[in-house]
Parts: sequence; C-alpha cells; structure tokens
Amino acid sequence: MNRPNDKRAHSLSCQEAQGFLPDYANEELDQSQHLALESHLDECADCREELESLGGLFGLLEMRTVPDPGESFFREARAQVHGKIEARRRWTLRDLAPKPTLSPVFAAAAMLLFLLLWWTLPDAQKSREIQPFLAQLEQEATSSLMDLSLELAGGESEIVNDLFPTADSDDLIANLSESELDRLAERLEEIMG
Amino acid sequence: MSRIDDMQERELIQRFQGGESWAFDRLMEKHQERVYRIAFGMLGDHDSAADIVQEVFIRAFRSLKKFRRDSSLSTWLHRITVNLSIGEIRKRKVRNHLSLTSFTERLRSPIGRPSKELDRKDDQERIQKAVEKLPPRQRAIFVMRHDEDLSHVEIAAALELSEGAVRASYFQALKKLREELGDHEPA
Repeated sequence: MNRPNDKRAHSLSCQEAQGFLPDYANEELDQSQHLALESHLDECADCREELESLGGLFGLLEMRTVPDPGESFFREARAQVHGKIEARRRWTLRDLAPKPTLSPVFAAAAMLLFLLLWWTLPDAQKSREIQPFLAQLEQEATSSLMDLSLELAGGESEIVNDLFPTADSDDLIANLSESELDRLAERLEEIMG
Repeated sequence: MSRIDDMQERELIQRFQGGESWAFDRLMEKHQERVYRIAFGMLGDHDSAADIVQEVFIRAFRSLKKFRRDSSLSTWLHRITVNLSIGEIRKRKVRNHLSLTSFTERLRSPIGRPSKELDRKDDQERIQKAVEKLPPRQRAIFVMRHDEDLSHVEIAAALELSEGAVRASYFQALKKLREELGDHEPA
C-alpha cells in the first residue's frame, strides 16, 4: 500500500488512486489519469481489491431510479412558483404600505381623543350611544396592534424572509455542524419531556 | 425538457433582468427536471422534492436580477438545491430524534432482513435507505455524480470544493454504500 505522503514522481498515493477508481471502473478517465492509476494498481493490492468490489456495487446501483413525475407535474410546478412569487410580492407590498403599521397608531390616537372628550363632557351629556362606539374603536385598535405584533414577531415569515434573507431557517439549519445539530435535537427532546 | 444552449440561456437571463418575466419561465423549464432529480435523489420522496423545486425557483426569481451573466446558472441552482435538501435532511434528523414512530420504522427497515427475501422493489428501497444514511454532503456528491452524471468539476463548483475533495468524497460514499449493502446480488 502506498502511503498518502508518497512523493515518487508520477505515482499516486492510495487516497488519490481511490479517488480515480470509480471513473476507472466506468472507463471515464483521460489517458494520463488512466496510466497513472494502472501503474499504481500494478503495485497496490489494497486498491486492486477496492476496484473489484466497486464493480459489484455499480451493478447493484444500476437499479437505482428516479421516477419521472411527468410534464404535467413540471407545468403545474411552474404555475405554482409564479403563484407563490405573486403572493409573496403582494405580502411585501402590503408590508410596505403605511396602513398596517400606522393604523394602530391612528386608532389609538382617535381613542385617546374620544376618551378626552368623554371625560370633559358633563355626565348628563354622556350619551349611551357613545359607549358601544368606544368599545368598537377599542376592539379595532387592539386587533390592529395584534396584527402588527404578529407580523413583527415573524408570524408573516415570508415578509421577514424577504427583509432578512440570511435569517432563513433553512440556511441556519443547513449551516449547523453535526455536533450542533445533535445538541439541538437533544435540547428539543429535553423540552418535549 | 426543452433544449436551450448556453448562449440562449445568457440571453434569457439578460431579458429577465431587463424586465421580461416570461424569460424566467423558459429558464425554469430548462432546469427544473434536474433540480427535481437531485432533490429526489437526496430526499427519496416526491413531495419533498416538489417543495424543493418550488423553493429553488422562488429564490432564483428573487435573486436572478443580481446574477452575474458570466456565472453558470446551473451551478448556482444546484448549489441552492443541495443546500435546501441538506436543510431538509437536518430538519428530518431533528424530527426523527423526537419521533418514536420513525424509530420503529427504522427497526422494520428492509436493511435488516436477509437478502434472499428481497425482490427488485425491496432492492431499490434498500439502496435508497443506504443512500439516506450517507452524510448530507456525501449524499449530494453521490447523487450528482452517480445519478446525474455531472462532472467532478461541475460538482466542485456547485459545492465550492476542490475536484480532489469531490473525488475522494465520492469514493468514500461508494465505500459506505458497499458496506451498507453488503455483497448482496440484485434480485
């Protein structure tokens, strides 16, 4: 077996040779790679053994297939992508519009104005009809504030993703190391009891 | 799949960047099958692969305006596909830690059964299960090289690795598959 640090001219280390074995088995090496590998194989029984076992594996792997979902699937997928792009664009536009962010402020200001008027009016002039109106106003203001809180808290994750693309959960999870992922899984198990 | 050569592709990107959104449809038409196949190869089920296809092209649509025309669109799409698929694999791993059902499913996996009992369909399932045991990056390399016949250079560009690292990783993937599948002869 040739050691990885073997520096003989034109010779491959076992690690390098093994990297070429799959392409050698499938006759996909160029001439110089082919010659270098054959020269290595002449001297290395370990790599010859690795090569032999690859032949049987490729035979088995020939059964591996990806089913064809058909043109209608791809056509539908394109339509769905366009639909989602349009939906996300609408969300973004809605997010940029002043209404969702300003409406709670206006509603709260209007409510304060009415409360001020309410307190300054003599008791006799406090009409019973104003009370349901004030209750409705308070409900609308609370609802608008809740909508806003949901959006800011990531309830509308598409908007958050548009604004903060690097904070996407897929990317965050994809960038975790195996040990970090295991720690996360263990922590989740603890939380779930 | 429609046939669009590299020059036409650059023109389509240019048109899209100039505001002609129909050009995006043609680009999607060209690349979506391979994106699906890579995602399916890595994840092993149609629904997940279909979700990845959609997400890849939604992201592409958002970012294509800033795409450098001298770069390779397929390399970029393959990178997004692999990253999203790895994200999905990792989410599944977290979910599996929490799921007793998946544990019992693993116990019932055909990998533990004697090879004589296996028919062709079982063989395919067994191979897919073995592929799903590969570490995510190795799995991506195996799928792109073995299933999709992409060159080591293309894979290296998509995954931002050296060509030698791709070759070594592909061999390691094959070695693990051989260990997992044993000396089983196809049914």
